[in-house]
Amino acid sequence: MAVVSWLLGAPALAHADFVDGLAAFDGGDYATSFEEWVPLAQRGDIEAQVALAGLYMAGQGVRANVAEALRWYRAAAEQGDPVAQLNMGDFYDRGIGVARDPVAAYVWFALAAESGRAWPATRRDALNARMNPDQRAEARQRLKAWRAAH
Amino acid sequence: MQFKKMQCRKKILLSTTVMPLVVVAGVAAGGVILVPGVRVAPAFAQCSAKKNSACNPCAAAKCNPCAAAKCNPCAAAKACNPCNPCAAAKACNPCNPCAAAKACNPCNPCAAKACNPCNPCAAAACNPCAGGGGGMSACFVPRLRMAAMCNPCAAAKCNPCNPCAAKACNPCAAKACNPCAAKACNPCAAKACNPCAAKACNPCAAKACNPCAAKACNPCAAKACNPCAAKACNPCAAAKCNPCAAKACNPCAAAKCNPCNPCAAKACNPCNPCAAGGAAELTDAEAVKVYDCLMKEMKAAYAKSDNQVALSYISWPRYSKRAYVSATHGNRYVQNYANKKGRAYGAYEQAGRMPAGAKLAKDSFSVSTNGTVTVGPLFIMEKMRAGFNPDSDNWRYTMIMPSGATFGTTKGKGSGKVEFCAGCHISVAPDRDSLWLLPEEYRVAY
Repeated sequence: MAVVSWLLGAPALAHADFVDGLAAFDGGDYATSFEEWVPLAQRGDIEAQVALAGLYMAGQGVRANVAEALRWYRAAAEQGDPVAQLNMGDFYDRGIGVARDPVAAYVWFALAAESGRAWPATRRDALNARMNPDQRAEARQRLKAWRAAH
Repeated sequence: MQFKKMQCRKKILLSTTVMPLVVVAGVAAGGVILVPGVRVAPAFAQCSAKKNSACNPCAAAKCNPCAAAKCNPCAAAKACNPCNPCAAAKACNPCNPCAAAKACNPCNPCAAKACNPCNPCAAAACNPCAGGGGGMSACFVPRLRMAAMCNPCAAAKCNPCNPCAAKACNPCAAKACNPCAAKACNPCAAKACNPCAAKACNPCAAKACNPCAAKACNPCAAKACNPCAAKACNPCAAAKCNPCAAKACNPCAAAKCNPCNPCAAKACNPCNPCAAGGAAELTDAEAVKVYDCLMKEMKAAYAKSDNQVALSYISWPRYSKRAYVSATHGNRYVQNYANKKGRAYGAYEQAGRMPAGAKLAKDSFSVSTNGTVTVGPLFIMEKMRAGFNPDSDNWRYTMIMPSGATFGTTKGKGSGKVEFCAGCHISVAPDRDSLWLLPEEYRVAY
């Protein structure tokens, strides 16, 4: 019984934590947002991971840290979150916190675009036009590998 | 729940913190100044003299480190060539090719010190002091940034003068802005200096050694834990044994923020936890300038969401003269937009109920006390048909993050996550249709 109630209650509790963090964020209380979202993100909550990445990017509630932002975006992106994926693409395309890598950028934009989003699709196509044949081939390979692994 | 407490936290207020305007001389003091003759090796100096190349340090091909690729990593054509007359100028000379080069260029004399305000890396990924990076925003408030640089009280983050600043440049930064953190540089740490430090005498001192741990930044404010308040049970209550009680023996007793805290005495004491905080106030001109600078960035950030309002709101009529502080939106600076169907919004108190199809958008940014600007969320209200959701006056609320994430939409995905929006808005008078009105002084008359 206890197990069942835990199983039923856990998602609701997680949801409440995220909402608390979001309400705190809305109110400008970033430290509380950070506190609420860290444990959720560590437990694999995608939304919390994306939100936490945003805090690290902006230096809100925590010292700005692009590497940490990248880490949490990556965690969410690996789980298939399109927002995290398009931000990963943006990081690689513009060289934010990582070396510029058009192939990696393309892969992340392409994955994000698969959710039907126009923004990453536009960026993917623009990038594709700038890439050479070798890069395109490598991107296709990586996409294939990613899909096989996920 | 915490968010319930936060519902409708405040009425719209203008929170202000007046920051002193201080002219900074020697902003680049931490930078390495490339002056001919200073960085060159002695051998080169001799050689250079022999060749009489004082006016052209690049003249001597062999002995000039500017010319020799081996001994000069920045040699010849590279951007950081010290032979470049621009490079020899002031560290942050805009003419300096090193300064204008890639952020985090190790050749850049401005990059030498992590927390150098002149450091182009300061806003970038590789700088541990990139605090308040504002989502990598290139926009900032020069006046506040300047004030932060020379005012240790002004900025909590990344100010090398500030004991609360980054570890990298500050030995006192052990614990975030805790005046008790570092003994060496903190007069609050020593018991002798800080009457709050003695646990026996002050039960408030136990809380993280922070005199601000109690209510209102003042351990003496909370009766329950205030040794000054409860005479009966507090052996320290007597004037002689209680340093908080007697002005005569306690120079801090009269201080405004924390009578128990010797750091409070000086307004600009970097140890004073009462010295910093609050939203930075912008002048009209600054608010306009920052918003103009930030517009493109905000548009690009919100566009990632693919939300139609996010893509189009910037072309709608704007109802605020300039960005103003909204206490109900986290003390962020906001601007108000409404689409054509929402034009009645411009009638403010006489707006009545909005028709279905009316859309309101509020973009936002925050300004830290060190002048750093950060793009905030985009708040959207869309009036839906009757019956959509009586609990929100048929408004659909959406909150879009600068990352492009949409964390909730009323009656849509994550509906529960934006309930607090409706909860606050619906608390206005019933005839106001859940609309909070912007302060009169910022209203555009249509």
